[in-house]
Amino acid sequence: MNLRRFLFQHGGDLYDEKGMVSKLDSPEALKAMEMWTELFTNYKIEKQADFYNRFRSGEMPIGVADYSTYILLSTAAPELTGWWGMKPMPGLKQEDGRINRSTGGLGQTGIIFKDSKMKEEAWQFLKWWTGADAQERFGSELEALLGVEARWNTANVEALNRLPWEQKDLEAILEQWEWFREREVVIGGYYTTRHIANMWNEIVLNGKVTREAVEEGVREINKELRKKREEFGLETSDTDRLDE
Amino acid sequence: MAMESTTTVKNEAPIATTSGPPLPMGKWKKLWLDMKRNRISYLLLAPFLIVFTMFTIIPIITSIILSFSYYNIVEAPRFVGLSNYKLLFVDDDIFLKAVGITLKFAFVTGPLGYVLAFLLAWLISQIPQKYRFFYTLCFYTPSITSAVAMSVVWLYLFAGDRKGLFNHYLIQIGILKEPYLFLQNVESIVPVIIVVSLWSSMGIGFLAFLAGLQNVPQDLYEAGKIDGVKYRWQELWYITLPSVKPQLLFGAVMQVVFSLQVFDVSMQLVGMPSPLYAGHTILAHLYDYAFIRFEMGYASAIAVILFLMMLGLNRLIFRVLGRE
Repeated sequence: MNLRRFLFQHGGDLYDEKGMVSKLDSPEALKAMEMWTELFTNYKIEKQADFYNRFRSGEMPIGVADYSTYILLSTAAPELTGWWGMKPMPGLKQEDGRINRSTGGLGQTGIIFKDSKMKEEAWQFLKWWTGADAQERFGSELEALLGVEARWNTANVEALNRLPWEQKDLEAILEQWEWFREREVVIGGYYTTRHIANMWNEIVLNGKVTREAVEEGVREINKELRKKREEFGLETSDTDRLDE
Repeated sequence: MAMESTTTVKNEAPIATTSGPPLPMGKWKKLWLDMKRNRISYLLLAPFLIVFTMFTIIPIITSIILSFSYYNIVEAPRFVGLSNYKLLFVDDDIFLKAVGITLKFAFVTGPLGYVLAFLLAWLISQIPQKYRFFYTLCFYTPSITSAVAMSVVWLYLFAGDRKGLFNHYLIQIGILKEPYLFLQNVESIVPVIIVVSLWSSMGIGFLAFLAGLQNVPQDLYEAGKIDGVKYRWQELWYITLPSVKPQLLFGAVMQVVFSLQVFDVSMQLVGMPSPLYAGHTILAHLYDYAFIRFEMGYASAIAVILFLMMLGLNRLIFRVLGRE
């Protein structure tokens, strides 16, 4: 389920600035939703397919897939070695002529608790761990032990350059890097994922009108966002939206 | 129960004779004396009782208490009265939907699985002892396989891919034009889960039937033949069924518990939460609140309702099947 790509490339947002209200009913988001679902309804691309096997058999010569598929293809499909490559994400041409290739990636983060007694130490540790040297060493040792399947996809660009990625793939990654955009993590955000899946289901399988499906979903998402924010005593969106 | 009461009556006599006129004894004191006298029995009961208390009774009581509170695991629970229940019944559409789906499910898989288990057990008990083991194993294995392991097979069969087994053949013989998403379509989710859980429902109840059927005394059948039994169905109806009544009761209870608890299968096949909540059972709702939203108080309230439903259905079964 990847509405996010279409959404971000259309310039849409999942939430407003404070994460209080879903922005999936904005004009950009609706356009993105239409584009995404029309791939299945109008263009009839396969709703479900095992890309890895189809790629090997040649039925699907091109596909949008994630990092694990990359690893799978480079380790479990030796007969294809050298016959395929990784390219930046397809995107939409913007007004300034550049192609907006926005997409997400694996996101991990380190946090330091406010009440911690060892803030300074934690900060030093995080700096060391996310630094290029430590990341490079960790990545190369992992790969030395386990082989290509453990190739480390570090978020440290400098370390990434030093790791044994293939030059062409590396170029693609670095080009894509400019367009990296991951969704925001907000309180009650699990409802967004769930309802995007439901919208897809309503539109593609049940033939519901896009706007109707989206608005229904947004109502549910907003309800949950507000509920969770109230639960934690945070500021909630005002009465601009009346849910019954 | 009957056993216990007879022993107490028996043991009362010596006390009365040794201590002269009967003393007005408190109920609790009497119980304590009884317990002291039968301490070996209580000692033998202890392992089960302790484990049962720790892992069944205490959790149930805790969850009943927690169901009246707001609890998010991190902070201490806060008493909120009945508001969880109020929300559950008045404001939670998805819960009502989950109840509907669970009941729909229980009313199809419950009776069907029950009848199927009995008929299969009966059929298996007809074949020679030598091959019985093999057939029993075949039917029993699915019920002990973990949901994850069996989903590997069923996910392939029901895959929405053009190459999924069912889709492939259905397209080949021309029934479908394009692959049907069995696990995404709202109409097909419940039937698929029903099929899969029927397949895996030949569990303890089935084994109990089998054991019961093998223990029906042979002379009953001989007597039946003398009395004029002509068909196997008559034999089944007038002799076999009444003789395995205890097992029938046990099987029914297990089946109800099983069919109200369907969740693993649903989660493995259609995901959590399922598309448009189409496979959302009560247990799935519970999981949603407990481990996705971390509203443990609310989740406990759901658990209590589920517990009461099971209790009620079990009482009903006892009433219908277990007269003596």
